[in-house]
Amino acid sequence: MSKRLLLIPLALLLVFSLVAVSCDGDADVTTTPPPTETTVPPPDDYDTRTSIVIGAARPISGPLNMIGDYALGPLLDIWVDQINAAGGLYIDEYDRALPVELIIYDDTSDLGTMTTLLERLILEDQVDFIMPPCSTAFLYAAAPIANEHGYIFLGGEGGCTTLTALLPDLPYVFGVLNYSDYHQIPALADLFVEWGVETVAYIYIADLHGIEYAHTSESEFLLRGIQVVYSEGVPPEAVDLTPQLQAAMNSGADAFCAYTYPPISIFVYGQAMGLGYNPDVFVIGPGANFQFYYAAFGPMTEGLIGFGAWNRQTSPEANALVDLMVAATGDAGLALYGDEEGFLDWWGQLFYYGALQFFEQAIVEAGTLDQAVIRGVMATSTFDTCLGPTWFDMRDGGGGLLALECHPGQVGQWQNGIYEVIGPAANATADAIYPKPPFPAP
Amino acid sequence: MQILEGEGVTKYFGGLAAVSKVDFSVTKGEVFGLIGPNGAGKTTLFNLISGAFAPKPGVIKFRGEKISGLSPHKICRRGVARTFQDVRVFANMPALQNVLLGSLFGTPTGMSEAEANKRAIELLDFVGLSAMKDIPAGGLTLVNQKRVEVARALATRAELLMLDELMAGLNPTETAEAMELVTRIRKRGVTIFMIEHVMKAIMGVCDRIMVLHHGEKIAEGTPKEIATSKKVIEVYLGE
Amino acid sequence: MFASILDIIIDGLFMGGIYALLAMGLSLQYGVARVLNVSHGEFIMVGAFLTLALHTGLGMNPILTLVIIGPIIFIVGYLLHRTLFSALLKSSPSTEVFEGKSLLATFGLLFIIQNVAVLIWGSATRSYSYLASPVEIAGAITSLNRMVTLGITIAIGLAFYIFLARSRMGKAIRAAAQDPATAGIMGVNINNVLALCFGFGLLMAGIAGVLYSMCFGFYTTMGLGFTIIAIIVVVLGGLGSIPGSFIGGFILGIVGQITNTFEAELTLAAYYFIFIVLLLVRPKGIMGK
Repeated sequence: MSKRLLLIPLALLLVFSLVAVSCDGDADVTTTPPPTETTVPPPDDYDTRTSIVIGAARPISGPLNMIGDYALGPLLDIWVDQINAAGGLYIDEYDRALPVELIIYDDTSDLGTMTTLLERLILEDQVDFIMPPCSTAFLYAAAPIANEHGYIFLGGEGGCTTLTALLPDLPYVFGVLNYSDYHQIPALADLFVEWGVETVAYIYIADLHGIEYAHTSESEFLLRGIQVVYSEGVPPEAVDLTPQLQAAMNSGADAFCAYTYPPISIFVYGQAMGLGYNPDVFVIGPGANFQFYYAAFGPMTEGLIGFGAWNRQTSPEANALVDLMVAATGDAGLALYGDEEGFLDWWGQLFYYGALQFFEQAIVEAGTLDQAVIRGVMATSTFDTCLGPTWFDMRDGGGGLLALECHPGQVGQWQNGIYEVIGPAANATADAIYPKPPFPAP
Repeated sequence: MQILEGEGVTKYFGGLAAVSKVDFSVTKGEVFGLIGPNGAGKTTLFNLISGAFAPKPGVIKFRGEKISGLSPHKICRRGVARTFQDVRVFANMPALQNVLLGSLFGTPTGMSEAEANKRAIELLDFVGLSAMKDIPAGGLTLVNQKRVEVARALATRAELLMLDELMAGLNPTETAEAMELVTRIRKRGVTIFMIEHVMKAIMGVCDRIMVLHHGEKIAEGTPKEIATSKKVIEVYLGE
Repeated sequence: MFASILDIIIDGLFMGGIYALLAMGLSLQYGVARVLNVSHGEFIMVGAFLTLALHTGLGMNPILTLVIIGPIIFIVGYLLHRTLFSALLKSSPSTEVFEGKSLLATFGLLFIIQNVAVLIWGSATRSYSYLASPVEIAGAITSLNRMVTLGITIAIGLAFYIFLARSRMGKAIRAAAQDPATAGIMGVNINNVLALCFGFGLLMAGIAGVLYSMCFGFYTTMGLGFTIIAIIVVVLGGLGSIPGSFIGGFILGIVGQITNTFEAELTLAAYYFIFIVLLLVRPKGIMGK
């Protein structure tokens, strides 16, 4: 063998080394550091924020004051006072509890003024949250405004089928109060069937509210074979209802309903008394459910039916709410009506307070003042409130309505000075009185 | 005795002097005339005396007591009554009621309804309107309306009666009757101060006449003196 | 089916009586004192609330409250005229100017009275029950408080008519209504008469308020609606005619009741329609001069 033969293995060794060196490097040897938590930065005003501001345009003056000051109005103050007495709302992203400040502007019961004030609260004052105005028509106008700016909108005094129909497009709107077909008229009509009522006469206020109750009545009564023998619309400014009452008397109907609200709800009953009109069933819409109605008519209210409904017996929390209201408004009630419960509303106040308590818990749960996040929590959570377990039925990606199961009652009746819940049966606090007793002698 | 006196009576409306520094004096019991072209300030002077407005400056005295500045009803109760150029009866009321108003309210001391009624009837008779006492004043002829006005003014127990163009719009017969009425009023002891355009009438009944022109007094004297006064003739002819 | 014709007439007369009182009051104020008082309706509200206060606070019989409330409101009206409107009269060169100034002044009154009332009594609708028992008249059913009201309004209307026609002061008022300046020249103390008329005018509104509160609920902002109705009735009856206002009130009451029975929503429109037709066709009204 020659030297040349020895060169071949050397060459091969050289080639192998070259190849080995150039192929080196792709062995992924970098060590990944251990995974860390994604840190969300604190809000811009973390250091400077001193309170949570809630704004509302309410009827401090004007005709709607008669409803507003006896329904949601006092509850807003009570709710905020309760929160602040406990030190405020604890918001995670601020790592502290923040007191709540309430700003209320007077919309003078004027729709245009209300929308202007609402926009001011949102755009200029830049409040953190808003509360609703008073009455169905005002809710109808305010809800889209709030929604457009991403402000959560809880329903207040009012609610109707037409607003509910808009919910799919209003994700920030949460209807609270029950109304005609959700589920008052059906509950009322069921009671009628139970009592054997065959004919009904009704009057209704000729506006959004009244017309809707009229329509719902027509269909619900028809479904159950109850005949409407007289129906008539009255203008909102009506004062003298005697022609309508006389016509109802002449019709001989078993039951009479007045789908009206104050002051007509008050006039109707007084004038019925004057005519001696006392059908077996006497139903009056918004108005009859306020404690001041009993203050005005006293024992004459015996057997009068209205919508609602709740009272002290509904639950211990309901009882506690009455005490809270008496503590806050008792003196004013005594001064105006001689009744420390004079500012109680046995229809809506439990609903509104439950909604407020729900809202409060949702904010704390969300840990942020970001309303998109809070909305998400509200849409998917159940919280305990004075209504019991409380949740909202949502419309596919839209807004929601307080679940029917959370309603404390649909139909109420004055019995011995108490607004008892008489329907549906599951919520009843007393047996219904049927037929309506004669007016007691004055 | 001078029953009515005016010293330096002046009244401006805006910048225009309707009456300017007029002095006058009416003797009790006389018939005193006031003439002058249209716009001379005659009715304004009457308004100043009856209290519609107060002279500024100037003073008006009735029976020696100052009346300028008093309210109209007080002046009336002191004994000054007037009629108007544009006969101002209460058209909807019967003639008797019109006169009754005067006797009920205008007298210096009150009167019972019965007395007032009696007086009203007597005065209607005096002016010759007894037959018309129940006819609404607005339905009477012009001359009768004027009579109602006169009766009403007299009902206030006026001592001074101011007549503002009593003869205006009357035909010659009616004018003569009016002149005769003035004489009869004077016989009752009432002093008369009258504005007139009808020259024959005023020359016929007045004891003395005063002439106003552009708010100023330009002449005063007996009818004969006035009729022959150059100044007065110029003023009237120059119109 | 509807309420019967007799129902309509009886209730129409009842409502008309209230309108008649109200309109007579305004007619006195405008026809004699030449003040178009837009705060007139506020006094029906004040009358109603004062009755509430006396009835619920002191347990007084509402009809009896007339004895207290009546004089109070009359004195308020008299003093208002002697102070406010007399001053305006003195500073106004002509009747037109006075009417303009006094109209503005009464607007001021309206706001003051209404806002004070809201401060004292709040904005809720109040009511009390009095004589709310049915009474049958020839087959028609109505309530006792309405019939009592009707009786009182007719009695007051008649009493005032007799006062105007027979009494000495009544004659002075009629003279002042036709020609205040001439009446003054004839010895009528015009300032006093005008103030009395203004006081009587407000008194009528106050009485209407007491009666109204017996039958209906009332609230502090209800005044203006009544002022408008009073104006319509005064025009209907004839400006310057107090009997005209009285009759006009009853007519409007019946018309209103008819509309309310058959087409309730048109009631307010019907009133305004009548007003417009009147102004176009017969502006001097039924008994106007």
